[in-house]
Amino acid sequence: MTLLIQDEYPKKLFREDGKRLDGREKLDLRPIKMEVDVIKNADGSAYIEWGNNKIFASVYGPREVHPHHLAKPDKGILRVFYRMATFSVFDRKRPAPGRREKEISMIISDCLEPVLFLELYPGTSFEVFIEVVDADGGTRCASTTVAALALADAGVPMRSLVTSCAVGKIDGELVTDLSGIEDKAGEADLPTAMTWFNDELSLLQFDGQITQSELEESLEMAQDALEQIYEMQLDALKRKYINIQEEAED
Amino acid sequence: MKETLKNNDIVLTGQYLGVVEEFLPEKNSTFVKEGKIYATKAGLVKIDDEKREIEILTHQEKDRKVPVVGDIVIGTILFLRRYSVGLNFYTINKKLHFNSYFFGNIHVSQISNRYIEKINDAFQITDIIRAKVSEEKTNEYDLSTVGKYLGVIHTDCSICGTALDKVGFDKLRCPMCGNMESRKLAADYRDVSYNLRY
Repeated sequence: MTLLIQDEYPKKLFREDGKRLDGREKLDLRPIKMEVDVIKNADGSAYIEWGNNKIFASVYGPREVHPHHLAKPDKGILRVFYRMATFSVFDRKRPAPGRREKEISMIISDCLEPVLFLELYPGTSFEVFIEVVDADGGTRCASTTVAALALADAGVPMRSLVTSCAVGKIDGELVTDLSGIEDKAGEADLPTAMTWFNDELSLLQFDGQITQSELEESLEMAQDALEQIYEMQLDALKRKYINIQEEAED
Repeated sequence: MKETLKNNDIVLTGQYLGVVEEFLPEKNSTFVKEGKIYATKAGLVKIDDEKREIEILTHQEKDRKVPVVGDIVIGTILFLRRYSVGLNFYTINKKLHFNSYFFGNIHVSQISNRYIEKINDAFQITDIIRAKVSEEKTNEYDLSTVGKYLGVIHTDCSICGTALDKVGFDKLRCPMCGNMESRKLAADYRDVSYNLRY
C-alpha cells in the first residue's frame, strides 16, 4: 500500500559502507541518458534522463515576438519557460507558474544568453520550453543541460554548448550531483554551469553553509563532473548525424 | 585536434575547425576568435576547394536551399518561347534566397485548366508569378500554375508601365491608358504583401 504522507528525511545520508543512499561514491554522477530530435513539431528538441529526472526541452525560433512590445530593435531575445508537470513531484504541483518557476526560467535564460549570437537576429525571439515530467533534485541543472542541447539541435548558432551540474555538502562531506533527498536534508547546494568557449562559469548559485576552502574544492569537483556531462552532450548530438552522414555520402 | 577535416565529417557545436589562414569562415555557421575558426552549429562540413570556404550544413528542412517537387516558388518571367516560358525564381516556400537563383520552365499545357491558344494570353515578360515545382531536371525545374492561388501576382501595363487592375477572371485594365490585357491570374492578384513578391 502506498503512503499518503512522505517519510521524514533519513538522519544519516551515508550508508554504513561509506557509500551514499543510492549506492554512489562521493564523486559519482547519477546515470544520465540524453537524446536529441524527439519532438517533431519543434525546430529543435532534446530529452534527458538524469537519475529519476525526466525532462523535455523544445526550441522554436527565430520567430516573431508576441507580445510585440518585448521585441528589441537591435537584437533578438531569448525566452525560457520552465514548467513542472502536476504529477512530477510527490504532492500535486500546482500548474500555475510560481516564484520558483520564474526564478529558474530567468536563471536558465541568463545562463544560455552568452553563447548565443542574438545580435544577428534583431526583432525576433527564441523560445525554449522546458517540461519537467519527473523531478528528483537538480532539475535546474538538468534543464540547463537539456536546453542547450535542444538549441544546438535547432541549428541556432552557438559559441559552444552549456553544461550544468550541482555540487553540495551532506553530513559534512562534499559530494557531486545531489539527489532529491540529499538536496533537502543536506547542508549546502551549489549549482554551477559552464560555457565551454571561454571555460567560464555562467551560473553559480549557493544556499547553505560551507567554508571558503570547501568552496574552492567544490568548484574543482564541479569542473570534473561538468567535463563528464559535456562528453555525453556531444555524444548525443553526434548520434543524430551518423545516419545523415551516411545519406550524404551516397 | 591535429587531423585535417574532410567533406562530410561530423562537426559539433564549438569545435575547432582551423585557423583563418586555412579557410574563409562562412558567416552563419562559424565564428572566429583570436584567429581560430570554431563551429557554431552541429552538422556536416562542406569545404569549397575553389573559394577555400568552410561551411557547416545542418541538413534540416528549414535550412534547405534547393527546391524539391511540391515547393511553391515565386519568380519573374524572363522570356517567352512558342510553347513555354522561362523564369528565374529566388523565393522558395516563402523564403527568399539572396545569393542564388534557379531557372524554371512552364509548358503551355501546365499553365491552366482552360485552353490557352497563345502564351501571350497568359504571361508577359517581367510578370511576377507564383508557381509549383512539378519536376526536377538537371539545373532547371518544370513548374506548373494550375490552381486557384497560382499564376500572376503582379504585372505592369505593356504600354505605359502602370500596375494593372483586375476586372475579370483573367482580364486586366490599365488605370492610366485604358489598355486591356489578359493573364492567368492568381486569386490574390495584387493582394500579396511586398515581402512575398520577389
